[in-house]
Amino acid sequence: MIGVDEMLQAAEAARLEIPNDEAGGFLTEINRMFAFVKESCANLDLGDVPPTAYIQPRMNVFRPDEPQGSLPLEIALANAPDEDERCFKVPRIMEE
Amino acid sequence: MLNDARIGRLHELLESRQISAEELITAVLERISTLETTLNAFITITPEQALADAQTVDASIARGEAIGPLAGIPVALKDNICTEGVRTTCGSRMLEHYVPPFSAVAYERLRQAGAVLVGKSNMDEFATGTTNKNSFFGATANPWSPDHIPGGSSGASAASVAARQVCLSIGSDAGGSVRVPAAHCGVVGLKPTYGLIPTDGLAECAPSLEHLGPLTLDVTGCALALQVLTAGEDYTAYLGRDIRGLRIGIPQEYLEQADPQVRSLFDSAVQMLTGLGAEVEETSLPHTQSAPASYFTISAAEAFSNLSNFDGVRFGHRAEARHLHEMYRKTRTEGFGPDLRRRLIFGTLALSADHYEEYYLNAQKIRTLVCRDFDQAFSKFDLLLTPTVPTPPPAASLGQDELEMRLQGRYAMPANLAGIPALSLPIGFAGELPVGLQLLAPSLGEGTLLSAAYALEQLVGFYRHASKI
Repeated sequence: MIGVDEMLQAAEAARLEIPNDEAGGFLTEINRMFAFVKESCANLDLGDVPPTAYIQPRMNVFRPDEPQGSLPLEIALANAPDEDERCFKVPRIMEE
Repeated sequence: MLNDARIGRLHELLESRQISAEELITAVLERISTLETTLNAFITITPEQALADAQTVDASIARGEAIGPLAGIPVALKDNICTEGVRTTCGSRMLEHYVPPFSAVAYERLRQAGAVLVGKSNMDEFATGTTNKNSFFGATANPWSPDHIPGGSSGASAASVAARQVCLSIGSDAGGSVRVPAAHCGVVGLKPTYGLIPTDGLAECAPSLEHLGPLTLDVTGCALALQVLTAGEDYTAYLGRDIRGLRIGIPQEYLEQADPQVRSLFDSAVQMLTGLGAEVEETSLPHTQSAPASYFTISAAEAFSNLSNFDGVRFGHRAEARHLHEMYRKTRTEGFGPDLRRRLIFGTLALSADHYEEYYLNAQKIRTLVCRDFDQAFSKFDLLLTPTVPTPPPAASLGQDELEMRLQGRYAMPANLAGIPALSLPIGFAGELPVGLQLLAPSLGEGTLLSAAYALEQLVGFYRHASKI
């Protein structure tokens, strides 16, 4: 079972906030999901089973290392929420 | 013109100049306009560009040039497929105003084949859902019964084909998101072999599970679309083949929780295939019941990682904040809906040091067992047959029990874990609601899938039915 503090810690790691009115429901659903996964593994002997991260056995399929064009600056910045002097502009980094 | 909106038939009408592409696109745009208040299948409609593209196709026909099977055919793309210059939202507030600077490879191939984009389909936010209710742009209705869900997350893609708003729709499928809505809306939906259709330009949540796939009214349309989307072989060559002697396995685990009406239609379809000479036999995929746990964990963990670049810096929504970290948190909290945020937190926890081995690593181990089950089954069978979804489409008014709703996709998820091709074919009605059958083949077995699905379709003929809307 996950507690509120652990859930809030995970939310912080995921760069998310959990509004107070959502916290109870979130905790219930997340714990339900953990219980479901745990129950699904309960009768399986997984000890010697290798994990599968990726379905295809290919590794390191490289294309030729040739320079290619990049997005023009104005297109790269077209979706920017804020910009300044040809750069993406963000709020100050240091907290007050 | 749209009463029979199969791609092959419309191609014949275009090629023989009985209709023009402009007339076809105009009819489609009118139908979209008429039905949208009920269906809400589109987030963005592109009428000007569509009509211009149709005129280009007509000019080509007028010059006497040969046209490909998708030329002039109206197509919708799920709104997580990037389209240069056309808004692409992923059904999320996060990308409400995002206009991509590039197009997905799949869309480029469709354009080169002359297909005409008429709009971007509604979807569950970032393709995480099975109801099409989790969209920032509102829920999509099922065209057979607006009080029922169309399935998800490509629910609007399936609904728009069923309602003859388009003739071809491209959806994405990480855990059944093409096949579940195809079953619920009574259309053909194909998830091909992993990697067969490039996913470049698809806003993926779970890259190791993600596929693109076509939704069409019939199997022939599906084969025509697959050829273009893969830039590959002529898949129509597999249609009309004799299926006598085809070895088909029925994994019993997929029938245990099937609704009686679904089971009855499934049994009838099996009898039809037997009548066509297929050799049908019961079999077992013993780790089927554990597959959803593996899928839920892996997809959430990959989403946590893959959606980390939605931070309000270079594109998408940005919240007002005093400093950078507050901006990240507020942007993502405002931009993502609650369902997605819950999954991201679950994924974060599954990857955390305290839970990694028990959850994420075990999920990957179950994935291995699911793959082994399929390997063993396909050493004996050419195809496996299951219901696509255990039940007919649920009522939209039902309280949304998240886990129960997600388990709607439990029969579809194993194919994503194993990367094998799977196709949903409509086989009949439970009351007024469509029911689908799923065919599964070993990797790169699309030809066998299409061959068997086409043979069955000739007996069922579901595409002759028109949806209520």
